[in-house]
Amino acid sequence: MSVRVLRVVLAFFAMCAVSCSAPTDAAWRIRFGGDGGVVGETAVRVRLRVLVDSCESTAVVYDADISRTESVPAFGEIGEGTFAFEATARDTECRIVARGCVVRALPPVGGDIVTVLDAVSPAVPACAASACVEGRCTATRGDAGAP
Amino acid sequence: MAALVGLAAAPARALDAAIERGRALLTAGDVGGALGVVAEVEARSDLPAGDLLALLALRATAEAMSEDALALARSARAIIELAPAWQAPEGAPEAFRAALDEARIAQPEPPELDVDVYPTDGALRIVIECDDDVDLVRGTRLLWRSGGERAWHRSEASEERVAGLAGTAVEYYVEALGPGGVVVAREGSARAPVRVSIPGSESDATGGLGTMTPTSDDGKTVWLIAGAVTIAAVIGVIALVAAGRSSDRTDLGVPVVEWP
Repeated sequence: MSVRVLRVVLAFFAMCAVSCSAPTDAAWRIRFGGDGGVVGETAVRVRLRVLVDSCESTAVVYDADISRTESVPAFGEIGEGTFAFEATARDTECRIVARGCVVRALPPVGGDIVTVLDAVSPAVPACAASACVEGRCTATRGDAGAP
Repeated sequence: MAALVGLAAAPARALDAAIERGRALLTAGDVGGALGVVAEVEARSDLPAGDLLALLALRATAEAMSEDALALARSARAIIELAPAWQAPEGAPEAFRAALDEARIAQPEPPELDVDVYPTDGALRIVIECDDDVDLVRGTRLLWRSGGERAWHRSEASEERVAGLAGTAVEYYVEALGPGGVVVAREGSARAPVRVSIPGSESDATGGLGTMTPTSDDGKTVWLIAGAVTIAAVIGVIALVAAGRSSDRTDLGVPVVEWP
C-alpha cells in the first residue's frame, strides 16, 4: 500500500473519528475553599500537577507553576485512566500555604473536575529560602538551551 | 519571459543559489530543467525558511507553463496556506494567478501538529500526527531530552516511547518539515519546550535515564511505521464505531485557577 493511499485512508477515518469519537471536553477548576480561601489571600503562586493513579504518585503528566498574572498552559488531551489533580499554593517566601488533590477517572462521567485548596498549617517550605524568588523555587528550573 | 519568472519581490538578501538556477532555466524556457531543480531543492534539508515561498512560486510557475493544472492547484494552495495574502508578481502566468484566486476561495488551513502524550507503564508514548491539506509536510521531527540532559535526542518517527526513572522530567518539541526541510509547523521549541514527566513502575526502577526506542534514519522504515500506525488507527476507529462508544480521550483545555 503506497504512502499516499495510506494518507487518504487515514484522512477518511480521521474525519470519521472527529464526528464519531471526538474527545470528551472537561474543565479542571482550582478554587480556594474554607480556610484555604483566607490563606489564599497570601498565595502568590500555584503549582498544578496531574499525577497518574493517585495523589501520592511520582508519575507526573502535567506540571505548571503560575502566578496570579500568568496564564495557565493548556493541558491538551489525555488518554483513559485514573489521574490525581493536585494543586499547591505558595506565598512569597515559597511556603506551601494551601493544598488540594482530587482523584478522577477519565474520561469523566460528567461535570467539572474541581480541586479545592485547603489551608496547610503550619506552612511548609517548598524549597530553601535562598532558592526562592517571589514565591518561585528557582533552583528547580531546568536549562532550555538550543540543541 | 524574464518578467514572467520574476515570481516574487526580490528579498533583501540573495536567494538560494539553486532557486536562482531554476529561475534561469525557466527564463531560458527549460521547464523540465526548472522542475528538476525544484525537486532537488525540495529534497534538501537546509533551505532557508525565507526562500520557501520563492521555491513554491518557482514550482507553480513551471507547472503553469507546463499546463499541469492539478500540480499547479496544489502549489497555489500551498502558497496561500503559508501566506494567504501572497500576490503573484507582474508577468506571472495567468493560470498561476487564477490558481491563487481559487486557492484563496478554498481557504486552506495551515499545517497543524497534533501531539499526544500517553502515560504508559514506566514510560511516555509520544504520538505525532500532522493535519496537512495540501501535501506540504514532508515529515515530522521530535526532539526530546530527559533527566537534565543538555543535548536533544532526535527522531523522525511518528511515535516514540520515552522511558526512564519515575518522575524524570522530559522536555520535547515537535517540528513539521516542509520542502527543503523548512519548518512549517511546530509544537513547542528549543527555547520553550513542552514539559512532562515519566510515570513510574517497578520495572523501570533499575533502568537508566532516557532509555529510548531506537530511532531510524531510513525514510522507508519511517513510512512503514507510519503505515502500521495508520492501519492501527483505522482498526481502532472501526472498533470504536462498531462498539458505539465515544473516544477514550479527554480534552482538559486550560485549567482554571479561581484566585480569591
